[in-house]
Amino acid sequence: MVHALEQIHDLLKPNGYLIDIHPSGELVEFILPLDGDEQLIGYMQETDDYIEYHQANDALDATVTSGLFQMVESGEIEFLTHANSFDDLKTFLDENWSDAIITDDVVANAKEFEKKYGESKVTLREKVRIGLLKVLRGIKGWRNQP
Amino acid sequence: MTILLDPEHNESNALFSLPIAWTGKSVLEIGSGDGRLTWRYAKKVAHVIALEPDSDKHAAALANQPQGFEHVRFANLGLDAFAKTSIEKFDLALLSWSL
Repeated sequence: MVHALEQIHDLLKPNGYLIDIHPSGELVEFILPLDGDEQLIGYMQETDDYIEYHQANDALDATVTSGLFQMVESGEIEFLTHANSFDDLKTFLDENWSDAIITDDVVANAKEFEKKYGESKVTLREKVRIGLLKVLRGIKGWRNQP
Repeated sequence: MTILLDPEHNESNALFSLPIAWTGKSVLEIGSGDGRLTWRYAKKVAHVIALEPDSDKHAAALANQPQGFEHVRFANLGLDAFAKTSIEKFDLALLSWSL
């Protein structure tokens, strides 16, 4: 990851900026939206237990510490994926999110709440981190330093 | 199957609230996927090169490209391959869910 950030640094103009968007690493939620309220269905698991997102945070921090970039601004947003049904969302995730794990408990909860509330639409809620980093010249030769 | 990704535009609103200028800028997007986010900012900038190593997603981006976005070029490449050959320097790099 740090190597990729070094490559990006080299592809940017001296006054350029990097915008990084990646999941924060907080658990992703399945939500049943209700009228003015919501019901938590459960959490999505990942095969690597979200570790890659924490590694991404560490890699960004490393490039700031080493003087490649300066963090100008960092924030968090909610990224919502809406589906007409839990089955639709599951199919979408199976096709597009290769390391997503939807446990049997979550599937059972989705069916139970759909029956209980008479609402089939579901939402996937992810917390996403957006960072703006400014190119710095870097400390010459820092990459070779221990 | 109807799936809506960020219809609230929280992602693009957050991008446009960053303290940077977009107009006239050259952008390197890394991990452009099917172009979902690309279409949301590309009108604001002068030139985009959007990298996507996955062939299916790259093909989807080409198929989805609307008119008026001729200044956006999709490349079926990863960052590593692109960095080895590119001599262009960009104003902005957008790491789009790909770090």
